[in-house]
Amino acid sequence: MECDKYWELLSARLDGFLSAEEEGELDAHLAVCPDCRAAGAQLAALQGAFSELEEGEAPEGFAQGVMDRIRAEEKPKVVPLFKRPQVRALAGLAACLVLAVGLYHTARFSQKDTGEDFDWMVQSFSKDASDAVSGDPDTPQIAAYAAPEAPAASGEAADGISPRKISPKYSVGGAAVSSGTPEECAFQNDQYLWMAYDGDTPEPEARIIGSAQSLEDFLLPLPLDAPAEIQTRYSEAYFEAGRLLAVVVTEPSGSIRHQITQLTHGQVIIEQISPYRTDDLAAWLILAEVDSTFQDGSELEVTVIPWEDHTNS
Amino acid sequence: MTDRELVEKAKQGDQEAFEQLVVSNQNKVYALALRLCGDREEAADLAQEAFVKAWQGLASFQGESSFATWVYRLATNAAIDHLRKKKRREEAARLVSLDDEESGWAEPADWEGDPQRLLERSERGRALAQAIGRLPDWQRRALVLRELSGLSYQEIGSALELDIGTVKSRIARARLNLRKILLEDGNFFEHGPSKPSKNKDKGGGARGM
Repeated sequence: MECDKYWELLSARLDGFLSAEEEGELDAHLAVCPDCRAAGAQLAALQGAFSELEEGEAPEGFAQGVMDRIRAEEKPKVVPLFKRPQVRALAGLAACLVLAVGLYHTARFSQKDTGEDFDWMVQSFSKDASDAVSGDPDTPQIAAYAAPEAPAASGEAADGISPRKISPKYSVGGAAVSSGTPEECAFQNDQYLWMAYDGDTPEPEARIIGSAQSLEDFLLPLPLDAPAEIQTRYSEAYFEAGRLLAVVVTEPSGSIRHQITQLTHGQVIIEQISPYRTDDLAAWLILAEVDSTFQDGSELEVTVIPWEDHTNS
Repeated sequence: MTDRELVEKAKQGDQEAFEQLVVSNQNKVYALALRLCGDREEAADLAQEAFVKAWQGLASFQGESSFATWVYRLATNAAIDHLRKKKRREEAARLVSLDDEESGWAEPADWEGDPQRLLERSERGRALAQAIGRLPDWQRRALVLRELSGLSYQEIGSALELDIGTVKSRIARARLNLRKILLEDGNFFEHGPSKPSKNKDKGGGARGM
């Protein structure tokens, strides 16, 4: 039927998506076609009726279901070791924990300087740990932490982690953080992908990916929702001239969000841009596009700046 | 307490405040999900997921739009994601793809069989809801994303992975089919205004928000 074309224009007009030229065409036709005029009026009436669609009724127990899911997601899938009485002592944590978050000093160390060599800390963890637990001395250099509670009052059970007591900058990987880092590198298109926390958390690690195969190998063990999408986006073609920075970070709260603030060939600095709020465990894969001066497979030091270091919230 | 106040409390971690937000928005969100997916269980799951995401993302919710708008958008995205995954699975299994124009009319099973569930403000609303249920999936989705979720043609295009021309024509056909169904019904257009000037709504914009 000839009017087909004009019915589509009528529809587009309802949505306000007609060009001036199309408007003119349509109006010219409507002037001579009563069928289309009638149809136009009816379509408009139809659109008006959408506002009379009342909401469907959500099934019984819907809200309860939502809250249950929220609580389930906030419950750590592994009992957080810092809640167990036997590991209130820092020492126990280092060996037992797979948690390796590496973000928080305990109060015991809160006096230490920013530039504290983390390896020193970890060593002292491991040493104590071997007393407390039949710990494997080769336990990965876990940046373990206990709830940063009141100093020396770690006799208290950690009900929740108080974020306010987190001490300043630390870094995983050993070297002290110096300001005015040389040779800052550019990065772009940083992405922050949430991963299901599956209780198996490595310490924060940053790596450069330089090929589709490296990417595939890297993504394989990660509990990502849609790894294929990442692989599609970063195919061999991308790696001809680009590299990917990939950082894996685990947090004790799903509400913490991050932002990469600085990058050099040897280190990446990440800031927490929203605070710890709820008591749970979450893992993040952070990706950023970098240039080919980075080497496939090289590992970078990761520094995470906690929330309190911000001057404004 | 206003939504805004409840949101503030929820941001501090107050779960009860958040539950109240859920209760006051659940019907609308559920209805959207239902109209997009056509399956009650899927819709309930998606709608719940939208609220859970809202809870998790509260820290970044600035309050520029209303909470209702925001959750609505989360639900739309969740539904679109879900449909896309479903499409992938079906394509992989060589079943009917979402894009198959040959597959005919959808079974209006989900809400026609349960009229008590839908509280329509009016006869017209009820008739429209039933007519929507009779549209083929691919037409219904495009139309619902336009009329209920308020997405632009461009946004619908990226959501459903279609070009704009296809989006335009699907929406037009959806409307024309609705018109056809409702003309057969007999009552719809008689109750409604016969002159465009009496219409309350013209042009785009999200409905029911």
